[in-house]
Amino acid sequence: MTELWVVIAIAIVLLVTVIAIYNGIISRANAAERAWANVITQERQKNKIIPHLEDVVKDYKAFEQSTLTQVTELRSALQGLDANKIDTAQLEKTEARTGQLLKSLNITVENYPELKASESYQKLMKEITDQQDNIGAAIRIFNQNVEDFNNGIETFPNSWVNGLLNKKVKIKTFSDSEAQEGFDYKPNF
Amino acid sequence: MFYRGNNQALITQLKRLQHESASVSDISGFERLMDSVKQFPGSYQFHYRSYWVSLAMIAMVGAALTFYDWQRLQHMQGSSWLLVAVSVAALLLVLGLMIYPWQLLRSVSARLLQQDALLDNGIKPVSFHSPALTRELLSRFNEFHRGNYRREVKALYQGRFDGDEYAFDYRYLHFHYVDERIVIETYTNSKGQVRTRRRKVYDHYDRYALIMPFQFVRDVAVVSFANSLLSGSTYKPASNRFNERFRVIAGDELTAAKTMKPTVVVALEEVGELLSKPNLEFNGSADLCLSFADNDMIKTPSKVTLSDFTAFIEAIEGQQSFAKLQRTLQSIHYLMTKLDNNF
Repeated sequence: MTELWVVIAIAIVLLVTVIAIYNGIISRANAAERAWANVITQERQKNKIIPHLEDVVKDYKAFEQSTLTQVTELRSALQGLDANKIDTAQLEKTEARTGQLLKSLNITVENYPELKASESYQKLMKEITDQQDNIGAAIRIFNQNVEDFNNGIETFPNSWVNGLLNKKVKIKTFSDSEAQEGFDYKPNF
Repeated sequence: MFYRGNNQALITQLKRLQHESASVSDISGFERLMDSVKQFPGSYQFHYRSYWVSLAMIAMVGAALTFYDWQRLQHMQGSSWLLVAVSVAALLLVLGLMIYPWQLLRSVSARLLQQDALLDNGIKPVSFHSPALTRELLSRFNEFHRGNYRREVKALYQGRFDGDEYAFDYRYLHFHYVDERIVIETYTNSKGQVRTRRRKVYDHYDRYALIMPFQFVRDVAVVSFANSLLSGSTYKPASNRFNERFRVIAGDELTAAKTMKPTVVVALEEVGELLSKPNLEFNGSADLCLSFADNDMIKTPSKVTLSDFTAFIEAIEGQQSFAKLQRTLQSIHYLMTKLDNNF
């Protein structure tokens, strides 16, 4: 009789552990998805800044020509982002477009000292910098949550519960491909 | 009477420095004090040799007399124990005479270094009436509603931070509170019966805080060290690491959501790494109280004493910095730049 109770107790402990691991994987997956949605929300804030940018440069024809193409490319990249589907490749593309636009802006504005000195341009640049900082921070939070999630499905016995029940796959963290290009070193994982 | 020559002069000098340092409030006063430190004609090295010799002699004479007394009757008697007691008392007296100047030298050195560090960082001690200040703090911040038995402010300082975009005055304070609780103990009385008794126990706690006008946020608290008085809507940002450490309580959820931008969340995660049990409370007047358990925020990192005179003067003449305070103030400044809502 005692042996039966021991078996039942072990079964209950195992069941509770499996339920806790299962729920843990679900909540970490949700946290990663929420952090992703947060990144997309921050990215889409750019849609509010772009009209301001167009307003500021509209009187500078050459400037406008070179900028407009990149603005269009950025808009198209932003449209490709989906808050419900984690797609770090598309995010990398959007960030690359943003980087190109900002680089081009910084070079071109040197030819227009009065524009560079104007209050509206200064304000706009501060807003863009602030926005980029928020995107950077949101990506950092996303990567942290993805790391938590990946650890949560790869470590034992979570990997066993995940393989059997949750069946979640590892999420790719965001990496700055432009920054990586500057390094010769490539980690072997 | 127990000290002679350089030892006596050194003790007189240290006592004078201890007394005069209490009234120093500005750089010129401190410089005058340091001039008198440098002009001391003697050495800041206490000479212990005669005390070591005395210790050895007392030990040897005491042991010899006790041995002689014991040898007469082959057992310890009243006079033997008296000899042991007199020898131990004499040894303790000499040891006390050795420890006192060492302790005095350490405390005066630490005090001078601390004053120098405060002056280097533009921080001034502020005189205050503890009950009145505690009442003021209680009315402004929930953070100080701790301790059901006693609450008091033990130290108050004033400083200023000049950042790239914002400059602000801040107050740094040491808050002490005591919780009274009743514990029920079981014991066995002289009749062998198990009884219970109630006993009051007092738990002492210390919190430290930086208070300053923040301007840009009202009615939001970010807490890692619970305070039962805080109430309102709770908000969870997307970061697991932030949520493991902090809880956000605000007047309304929208305010919390607007405040907890990703840059702010990441900056607060870093504050959480830097400080122990940090709480940030932005009150209705947009003032910030950042409280924490770290007691080393404005403590001089230097441990050198006057006995190592050259190193001591170098430490005083160099710039001492409170690294943790500077990093904390920079974090607050960064939060200001991220929450100023210019657009």
